[in-house]
Amino acid sequence: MDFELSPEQVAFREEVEHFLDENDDPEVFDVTRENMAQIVDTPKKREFMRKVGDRGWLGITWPKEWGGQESDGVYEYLLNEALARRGGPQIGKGVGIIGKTILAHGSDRMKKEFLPKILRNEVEFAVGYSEPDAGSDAASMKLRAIRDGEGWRLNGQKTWTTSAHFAEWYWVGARTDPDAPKHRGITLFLVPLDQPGITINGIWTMGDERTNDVFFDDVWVSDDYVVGELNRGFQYISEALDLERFTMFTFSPIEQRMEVLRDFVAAETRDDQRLGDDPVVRHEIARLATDCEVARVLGLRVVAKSMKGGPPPTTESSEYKLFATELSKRLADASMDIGGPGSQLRVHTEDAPMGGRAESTYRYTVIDTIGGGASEIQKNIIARRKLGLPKNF
Amino acid sequence: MRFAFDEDHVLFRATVREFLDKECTPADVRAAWSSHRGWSTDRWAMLAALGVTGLTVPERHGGLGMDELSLVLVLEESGRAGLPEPIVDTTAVGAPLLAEVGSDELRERWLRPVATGQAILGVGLSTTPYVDHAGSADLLLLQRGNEVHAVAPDQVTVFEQPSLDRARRLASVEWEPGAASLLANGDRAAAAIESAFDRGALAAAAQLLGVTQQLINLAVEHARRRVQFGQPIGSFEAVKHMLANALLQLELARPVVYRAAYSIARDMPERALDVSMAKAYASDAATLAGRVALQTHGAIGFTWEHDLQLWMKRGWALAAAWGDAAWHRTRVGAAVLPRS
Repeated sequence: MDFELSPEQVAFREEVEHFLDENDDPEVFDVTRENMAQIVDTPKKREFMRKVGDRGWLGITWPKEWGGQESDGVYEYLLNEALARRGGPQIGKGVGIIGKTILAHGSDRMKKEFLPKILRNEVEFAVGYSEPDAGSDAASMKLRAIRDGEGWRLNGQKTWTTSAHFAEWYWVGARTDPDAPKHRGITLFLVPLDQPGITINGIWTMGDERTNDVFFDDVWVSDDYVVGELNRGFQYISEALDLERFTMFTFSPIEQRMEVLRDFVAAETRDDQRLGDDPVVRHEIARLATDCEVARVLGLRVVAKSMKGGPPPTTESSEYKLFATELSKRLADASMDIGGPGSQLRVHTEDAPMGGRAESTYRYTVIDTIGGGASEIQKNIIARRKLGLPKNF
Repeated sequence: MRFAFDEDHVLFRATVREFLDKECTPADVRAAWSSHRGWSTDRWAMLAALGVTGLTVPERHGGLGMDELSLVLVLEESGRAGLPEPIVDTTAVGAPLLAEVGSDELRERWLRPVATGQAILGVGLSTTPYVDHAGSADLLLLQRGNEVHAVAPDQVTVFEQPSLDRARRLASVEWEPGAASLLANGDRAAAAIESAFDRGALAAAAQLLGVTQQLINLAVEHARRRVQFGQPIGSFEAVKHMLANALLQLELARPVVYRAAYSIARDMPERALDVSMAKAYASDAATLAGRVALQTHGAIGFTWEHDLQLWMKRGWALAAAWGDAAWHRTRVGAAVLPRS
């Protein structure tokens, strides 16, 4: 048992920080955009991620055969946390979800086409699992794929596809066998998003970000872009979701918001009393600081477990996702509450306490306990897989 | 960074678990409630034969001389089994304290019998005024102001303080400090007292992990078996989520408790902060798990005949011992938010 980073890991972290200092750019890094900062949706962000790729840091854990360095997952974790702390794009989707799934299940042809592009960040992906009638019950997706020549013809609708309006490729699940049990009739496809028959309509969110509905009208996809085996798609999606839960919900933004709140409490005076001397506030801060530490250690536990090269740490990553996202909301609640009347002022407003982090955090983090599997879904996963409780009644 | 215990830690844990499953059943815990001293000298001797009581005793005094990372899993198992024996005061706190500040003569006199299970120690600090099993301790290590004393049982008056867990016989101890009993004073005593307290808080936190696990095990077993409305109640989301919440609290507490053990074993500068985070978390986890387990059981869990009460009460008792959650949060607050 050892809770400290090795000298090599500390050196890597310093190298990353140095690189980030050199590439500091407010158009790339913005901590007030919270969870959405990770999206690579502008030319500047793409250019930045290409530089990260040039350093050999994308796919650092991949096999050498496919351009990786076969490093421990802890390096990927350290890189991602450093990026997240500055509100920059992260390595989540392409490397962590699509790349890893292609590595595990994709054909050689697919590996040769996509893996080098992912490593150099030359391609952006959108992920299409959700449908209007299939959110938490992802296996009930209806987007239909029917055999047509050397490929498939897709019809139907996806929703909550955040990157669809700027990505080139769509990582999408579709029903290929309507007669099989719902988990066994889904196939994963890679679909070019500039195809005729694809319509993308924007949806704007409370966090001021754009997500999308995507409509498929007779869109043809070649067999070459079927990911892995036919009708095994839901299994691949589930594996990827287990990875996503800890790569997408980084800890360092939570830690940073905790620091902002603590510094505010330490400096602020109200009714001639320093907020930091109020016992109620002190206990709240102590409770949140402890929870932050717990989230950090819990995240490290997931990383440590996934480093051993075994199956993804499924329940651990559900536990981490559940706790970290609920903690984000509690931090937002506490910041609004302790911030007083000024906490309703918009981010970057001059008078706003904590630079307006209270309101921006409040708006951005509400989605975290819904997206990536709602908290209730995580609890069902924990109850089924770890406690062995029976299926839902 | 390596988030796994060494193989010998895991093996030792398995040995202790197997022993406790056989020798410390719920019926045995129940028997401790009505027994004369509240614990079994036979079981303690058997634990000594396994090496448990000598775990923290230095090798030259007949012990294994191991650190908190070796002890923490054993303590967790003792909590899971509801072990009534004084493993916290004697093994986790008393032996290291005596090894640290005891005279050569006292160490010679007491550490070997502690390792062989023939003597138990009682510890009374100003932060832990009720001494566990004070009435049957062979030697008491007591704080008075900024001094540590070693006091023989015939030099003290023991006032039993009946508490909610009869397998932990609490007492306040009245005694007169003297030059003969003094072990340490000044900075040396202050450091030893702080270190002893942190060891006790860690030990209680580790036992609370086991208590919490057992509460969840009992509730889950019941939820799988108990049928209502034609379904096992564990298939209802309302029950599932309640149990998942309790398990989550345990899973959150576990790594911080292990980390606190690491901090003590390596004498890290943030030891006190880590210990306080661990104890606050473990106390809350056990309290929540107790309530969830009772809610899952329904009325049967509220009865004396059901074993649930043994662990609920142990959880409540340990949550209040060695600094309750609020006390530890105050210490966390002092570390993360210095006063003006």
